[in-house]
Amino acid sequence: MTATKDGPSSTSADHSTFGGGLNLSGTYRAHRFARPPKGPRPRPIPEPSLPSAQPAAPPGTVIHAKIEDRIQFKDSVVVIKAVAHGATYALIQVTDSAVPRKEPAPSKPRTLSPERIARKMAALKAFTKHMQHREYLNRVSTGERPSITLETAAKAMKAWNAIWVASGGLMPIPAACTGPDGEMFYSWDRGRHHLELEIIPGQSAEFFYRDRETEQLWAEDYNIGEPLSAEAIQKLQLFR
Amino acid sequence: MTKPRPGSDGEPLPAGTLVFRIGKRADPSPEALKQKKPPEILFKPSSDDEESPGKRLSIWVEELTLPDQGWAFMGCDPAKTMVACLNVDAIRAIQPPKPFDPLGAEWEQAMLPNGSVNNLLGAEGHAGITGLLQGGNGKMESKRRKALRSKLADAAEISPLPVPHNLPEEHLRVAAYFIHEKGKGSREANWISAVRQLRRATVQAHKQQEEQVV
Repeated sequence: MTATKDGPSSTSADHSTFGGGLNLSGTYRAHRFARPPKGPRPRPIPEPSLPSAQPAAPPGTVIHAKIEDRIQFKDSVVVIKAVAHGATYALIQVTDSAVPRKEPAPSKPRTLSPERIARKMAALKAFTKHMQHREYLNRVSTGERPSITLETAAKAMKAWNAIWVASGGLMPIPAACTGPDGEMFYSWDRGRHHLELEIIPGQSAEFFYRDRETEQLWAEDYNIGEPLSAEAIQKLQLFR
Repeated sequence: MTKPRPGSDGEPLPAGTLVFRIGKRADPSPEALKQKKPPEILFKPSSDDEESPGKRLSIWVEELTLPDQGWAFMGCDPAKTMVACLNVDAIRAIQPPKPFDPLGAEWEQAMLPNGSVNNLLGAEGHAGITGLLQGGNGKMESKRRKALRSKLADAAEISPLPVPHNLPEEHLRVAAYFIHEKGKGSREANWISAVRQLRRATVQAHKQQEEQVV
């Protein structure tokens, strides 16, 4: 190969009839450096004809025979390769023969601890529920008479994501319900603890907590998109 | 259960009476349906409830009114589909936050949307929950009212059958025929009995299915 001011040019040693592709040394020659061949195109050298049948393989020998053929199509050469029928059969015969096959050493079975299985199952379940919740929000905010607006649905999803992240991904999916005036209600129950998030169109959302045993009540406004307050995060911990 | 005798306006409902409330635009998520717990907003008195002389939250006695009848009296609003069922004993057992008074359940004269008295078949089962409009406008008072509604929601269960019902008409025809064979009531009354029985059977079947899953 020689270099010119236009880039490397091909010589007879790495002559490629159709430009681009691999040269003889195996390095890639970019197409922009390719030059059309001068003079008439060389005729493709005819390939030797294929034998009509492959000789049967002697027993115990595996032959990987291939049929190769080339056809010229415009500026390209298409090489067709296929395993010869006879050779395939010979291969099957060899593998089916009485000669014992050398089995690969059995790999060590991958075992998961029950805790890890439980964790994986829980994660899968949580993901399925999350997807169900997304579908639900989509259903109630679209269609002919949507119960909530798309904006409220987006706010609800944003709030749920913030809650989920703040709880370290351990908050269960909320029991959700739409309200008469386009509101979205999220609620969580765990034993004595009850938490709600009311997403009201055009207003800030509102958290409401009730302890069924102590009768403690707590409420707080929440601007969706802003970080959750320390007290709200503390309440989330009760539902993990 | 014996059919309760409809009482006069303001009279307390008999103990153990099953009642239901029809929710407006309440579309529950699969998780809420699984938990069968209605949202507390379902028990927030509407502007109509607030303006009514008794200031009660409208409910219906299950033995006297079908949810479908109640739905029809309320104007067949397709946005009202959720039915929440609860027992009068559970309503009365709710501990109110101090200094609120306990909740009550009383008979209430059913009215038509045009303001006239509703004397249609099934309207005799109209009743109301008292005590949900206590307190002033402060944040604390609002929180207490919300706590009361939240407790009501705890005591209630979403019915697996919405309004209007989705029972197959063929099943209803068969049930109504068997009721007619027993020889009591008019054709309309037999049909209502058929809907009631199939509603109850469906709820029962749902409960059994859940028990099997557990």
